[in-house]
Amino acid sequence: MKARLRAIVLVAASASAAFGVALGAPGAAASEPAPQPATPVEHFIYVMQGSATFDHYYGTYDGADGIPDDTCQPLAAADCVQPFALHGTDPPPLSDIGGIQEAQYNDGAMDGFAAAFEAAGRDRRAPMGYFDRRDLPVSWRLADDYVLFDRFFAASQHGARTNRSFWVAAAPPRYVTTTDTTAATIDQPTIFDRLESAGVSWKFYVQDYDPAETFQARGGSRPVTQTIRVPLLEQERFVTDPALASHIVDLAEYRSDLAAGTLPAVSFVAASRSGERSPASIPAGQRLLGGMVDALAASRYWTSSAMLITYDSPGGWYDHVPPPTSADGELLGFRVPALLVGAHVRSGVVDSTPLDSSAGLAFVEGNWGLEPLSARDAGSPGFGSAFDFSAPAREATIIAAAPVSTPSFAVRTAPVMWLYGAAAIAGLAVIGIAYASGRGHRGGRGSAAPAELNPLEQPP
Amino acid sequence: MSATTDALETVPGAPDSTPRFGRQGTRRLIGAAWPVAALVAVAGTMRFVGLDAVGFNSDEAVYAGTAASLGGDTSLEPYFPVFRAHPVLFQTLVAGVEQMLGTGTDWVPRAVAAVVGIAAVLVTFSLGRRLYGPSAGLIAGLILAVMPYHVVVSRQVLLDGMMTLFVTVALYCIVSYVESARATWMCAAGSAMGLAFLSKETAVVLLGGLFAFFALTPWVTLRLRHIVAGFVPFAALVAIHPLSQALAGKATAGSSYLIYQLSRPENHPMTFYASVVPWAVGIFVLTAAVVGLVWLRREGTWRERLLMCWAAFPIVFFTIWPVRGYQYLLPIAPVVAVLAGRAVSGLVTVRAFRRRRRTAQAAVIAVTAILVASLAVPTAQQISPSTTGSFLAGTGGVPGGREAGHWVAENVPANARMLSIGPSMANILQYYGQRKVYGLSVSPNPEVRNPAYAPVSNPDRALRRGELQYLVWDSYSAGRSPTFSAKLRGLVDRYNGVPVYSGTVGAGTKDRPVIIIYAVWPDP
Repeated sequence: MKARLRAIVLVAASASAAFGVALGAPGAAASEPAPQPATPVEHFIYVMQGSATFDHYYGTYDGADGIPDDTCQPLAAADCVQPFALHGTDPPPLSDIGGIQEAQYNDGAMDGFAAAFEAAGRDRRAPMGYFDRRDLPVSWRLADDYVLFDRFFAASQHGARTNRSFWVAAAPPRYVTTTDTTAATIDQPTIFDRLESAGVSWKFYVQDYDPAETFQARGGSRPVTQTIRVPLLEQERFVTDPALASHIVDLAEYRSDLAAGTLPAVSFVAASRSGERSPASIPAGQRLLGGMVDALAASRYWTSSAMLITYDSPGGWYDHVPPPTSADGELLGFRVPALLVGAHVRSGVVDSTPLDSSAGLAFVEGNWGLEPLSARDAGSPGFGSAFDFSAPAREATIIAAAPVSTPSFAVRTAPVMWLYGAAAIAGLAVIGIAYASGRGHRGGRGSAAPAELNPLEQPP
Repeated sequence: MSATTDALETVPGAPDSTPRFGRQGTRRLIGAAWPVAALVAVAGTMRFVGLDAVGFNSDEAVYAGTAASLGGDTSLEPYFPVFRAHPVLFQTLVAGVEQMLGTGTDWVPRAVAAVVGIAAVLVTFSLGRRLYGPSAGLIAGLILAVMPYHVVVSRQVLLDGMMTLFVTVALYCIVSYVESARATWMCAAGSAMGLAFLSKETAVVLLGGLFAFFALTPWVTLRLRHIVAGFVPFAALVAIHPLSQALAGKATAGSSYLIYQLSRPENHPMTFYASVVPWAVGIFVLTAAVVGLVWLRREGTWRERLLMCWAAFPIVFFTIWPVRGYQYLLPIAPVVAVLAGRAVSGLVTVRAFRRRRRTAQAAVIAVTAILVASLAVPTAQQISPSTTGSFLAGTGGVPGGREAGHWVAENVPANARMLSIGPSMANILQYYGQRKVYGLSVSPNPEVRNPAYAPVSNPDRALRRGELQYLVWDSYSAGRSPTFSAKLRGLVDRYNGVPVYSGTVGAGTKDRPVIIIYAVWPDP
């Protein structure tokens, strides 16, 4: 009897927990009202893509600090490599060369991009390739319509794993010492802990999400790729606590949440095959970004949302701006592309505020009244200058091009109206004259003809 | 050619209607006005009650959209260019009225159509009176005033109502010409036919009936100069259509549509009109008309032959013509009404009533009342908003379409693109939603598609590229095109469609929505 009662209580508790999760009000903080956002942005979506530098994506974008005209990266011999357009080529992914960023940085000279590849015995010309509007129609269109940041730096000079850690925790990974090869190796506070404590709804959307691919599936000391893209999966509680784990979902739920009205206040998005980690995945990445923005534009959330799109690391590509140090005194990585999209975002502006990925965290913390995670996000200048909350929310627009179709041609309508009007008047006048003259001819008898037959009407 | 004598016009026994003044004149005026007032009241009630209870159907959306474009509404011009297929006399009239009364409602364009319909009732009254006397005219007018076919069509923003008005005017002029042999009537008939053409070019089919009448009635002859007198205004008015296109900067729209019409596949079986029109004009009315023709055959004159030719030619033509629209045979409605009016008013000649004038009048009134009631009941049913998920094009507004369009206008980004099963729902959503909506069933092959519609040559590719953001399923189009409905459903599944709008009508479709709009998102 007791066992049955316990089972009923457990089921009830599970159901209420599930209901609470479904409502986006996590159990611990469910009783307290969630903090209201300080700005009209009630939903913040933070998309982290793969590897690119600003010059690699926007080096030829008008109005931005792009590739200088006289750029030519020196080589060991008295030679240099100029930037070149990658459009129409099928470039292979850049070789993964450990510590290459430091060599490319070259103590701030920013002249080691080609030389580092040459020294590693790789194609020295490769890092100087750049894309443009033809290859990045969505990214450039978003830059045209919203805010493009041309001083947005990778959070560190290390690789994707470290940069993605900054994305969620404003700090590099904090490793724990353990001899258990199946235990989590990272444990640190993240923005999601802050959101959870405050009762602010959140989700982490993952493309092709595999719930089994966590730190628990790690082989040896090498992390599986999903945990690099989704740093939460390296931490024990986000994997083993069902309430927290339920926030990490497949990207397909993004669209259904938009349609169903269940978009959380804060959303993080990590792509996989559309992550633009290599040139081959750029078309898919453009479709992903366009689809996400268009889905948001088509949803009820457009006027209350903002979406920050950026890239985790430079990936070896050329950029000409030496990175500054951040608020915590660390040297930042090279510039990465970054865009802010939304109904309250300024239009067609290139914003040169020096930022890194902690700016997104700083916005979340400021908007929902959360404590900063580190000196990095606490000291971020933020991207408030990219918003214009004094203006009414902008109309939603679709980014994707229209299908090729036959356009309709405008015509001059005035001659049509006049001609038809004149025709109607003339035609009716003729009929009226005939009717009037008919009456007169008949002596005003009117048109009432009786049914009687006239012999002349019959056939002869 | 020998002339028709003027003697035909002066029929013995006609009442003397010389104007007189004073009390008698007033009485005469009231006597002449009450039938008109009664017809306007009955016809107006049938046409105006609940006029905009249901939103536009596809054709209405097109014509109202064209009128708005003509009136300078730039927001609708991209979806409804001025020159699509037909001449634009009716649309010009709607545009003019909208400029006076204001735009943005369904009521004004439909009110224009309704007023045109009431005018057709009055012309039918005049035609019947001219042919068979006041009683026949009044009965004919009453029949047309409540006839389902005419009421339903003249409550819609369609071209056929105005075309029917002018061809009936033309018929009146022909009758007057035959009676008087005066060239002015032929000139007026040509003008009326020209205006009918400018309303809808299919009016030219009626010329075949006219030709048949003169060919089959050799003792009613024509003078060559009278033919010219009729042809000149007709040709001058017809020329307005290409001339206006040329002046507006779009000279080729009509020709490509004509090519399309000539090559269109059959849309209804050949038995379509036989199965639909008798019920639409009223079985009892049709029976009365036919019985009258048989019963009064000894009293038959050129008048019945004219009416028969006038009605028979379009019936034969459109039965053979592969493209059959519900409203195409509307011009025969006044003729049927007049023949029925003739038959009913002819009851006074029945031998049993010869010396009982009051009984005869009572019989005429009773039969008229039965006929009118037999029409009014189905008419009232047809003009009530439908609660089913099926629909015959041309029989009224599309339930739920306007509401879906308004949802689109409020919730869909301005430059979003949608794909529906066919162009019908696309037109409705474009009119109310002012968003680009393509039709899946619109063929990419220019030889077999309506040139007014833009196809999506490869819907799969367009969806993969994110070029289309919404798919629209509706039960009306699905009923007509199950293949394309299944294809659209397949696209919904393939591109992760999520329903964002679901429209139902009445209580009957609560569990089965008539319109569903899906947001789609291709896998990147």
